[in-house]
Amino acid sequence: MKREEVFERLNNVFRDIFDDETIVVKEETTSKDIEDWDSLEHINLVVAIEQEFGIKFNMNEVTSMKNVGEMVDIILTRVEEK
Amino acid sequence: MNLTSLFFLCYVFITLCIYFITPKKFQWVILLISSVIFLFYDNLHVSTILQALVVLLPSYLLGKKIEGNSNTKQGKKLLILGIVLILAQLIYLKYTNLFIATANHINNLLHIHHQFAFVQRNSLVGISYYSLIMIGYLVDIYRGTCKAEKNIFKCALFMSYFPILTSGPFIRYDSVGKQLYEGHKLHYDTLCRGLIRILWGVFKILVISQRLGMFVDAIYGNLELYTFVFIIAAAMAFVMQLYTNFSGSIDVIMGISEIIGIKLPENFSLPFFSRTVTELWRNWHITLGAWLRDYIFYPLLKSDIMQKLAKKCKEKFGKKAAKKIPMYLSMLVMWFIIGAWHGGAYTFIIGSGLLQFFYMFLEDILRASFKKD
Repeated sequence: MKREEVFERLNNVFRDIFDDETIVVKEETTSKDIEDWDSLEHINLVVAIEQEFGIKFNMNEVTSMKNVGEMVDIILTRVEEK
Repeated sequence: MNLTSLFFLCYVFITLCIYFITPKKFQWVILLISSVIFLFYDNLHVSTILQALVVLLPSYLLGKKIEGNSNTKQGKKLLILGIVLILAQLIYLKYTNLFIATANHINNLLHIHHQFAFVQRNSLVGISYYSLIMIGYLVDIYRGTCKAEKNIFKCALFMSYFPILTSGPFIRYDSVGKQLYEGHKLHYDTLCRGLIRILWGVFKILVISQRLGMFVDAIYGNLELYTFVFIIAAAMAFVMQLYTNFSGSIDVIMGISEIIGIKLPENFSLPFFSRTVTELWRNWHITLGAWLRDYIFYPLLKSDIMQKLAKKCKEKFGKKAAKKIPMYLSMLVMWFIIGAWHGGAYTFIIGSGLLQFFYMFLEDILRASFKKD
């Protein structure tokens, strides 16, 4: 899976979770850039991403992701491991 | 040992003197000896030694085994074993009488005349703190956040670091563990800052909290003599008494650690300046909140059961309910645990736990309806 494809699918997940069709995530996007992205929504987001890509994040990854770029790195690693 | 007693302060002074004249390599041994003395001071008994070992041995032995099995099924089994062993002891020591009282109450309701006798439990100081701290340690090893400690005595020091045993804060191995074992030099700056913080803490406890306590006790002890206004004033004073006592204790603990050269996480952040109940609890006993969030709330919210529930809620009630219902349920479980952790009585479970959940639940619902308008 290519990085661009991951971003495309991630955009759909973000738009669905935060109810905002204008969201476009980038490598450096963080929770500060999206108004409703608090710690609770983060868990909902993580679960939605897991379902979208058929992968599982471990709790350390869930709490330590610094931006969307890191999120994509983990997704790509997990998808390759499958 | 009382944190504001002259005896405790002398104990700390002697510990610090010996600590700073000891070669850096062995300073942690001084902290360990001091912590062990503190732990068993006036409660040295075979049963209390066993209590400490029931937490230390699984943490140490299973921690090493889990390290090679991070995020695997085998690691999970070992982790669960460790958690069960530590929790079983904590529940046995803290909640046996609560179970007995509940059973007796049920017997009364069913008109069964048999009453179970209450039991005396001799718990070691700080057991509620170090049991959770060591569960966190095992979970962190399982998650790969930290490595297992290979030296059992160092592991024992992490478990029993004496300043935090009475009031916290909750520490984590990856941030505090290393600081305990590395040597420290006495610095004039940290000595001054530490002493000022200790003094401030002692002031809060002795001057503010204990004075307020006299006022509160006088009214709470004779409620029938006072009018509504005095009772409300006493209730407000009690909150300040509690806060100044608890945060004062934390100041003493932070001050001692600062002198040693150990940076502990802050436990309070101006809680009474919060705008909401949620914010208040985020700023009160911060490290307990963070512990519960990372080791109970998040894993619960992310668990398969909650996700199945969310799916069903989405089908039946829509997307918003699918987010809110699992969140409320996870919060309910977390606040029940917070209440129970504070003490083995329903007053704690309800007053410090479920009632607070109810306030936050109400706040969330009301906030949503205000937003609509």
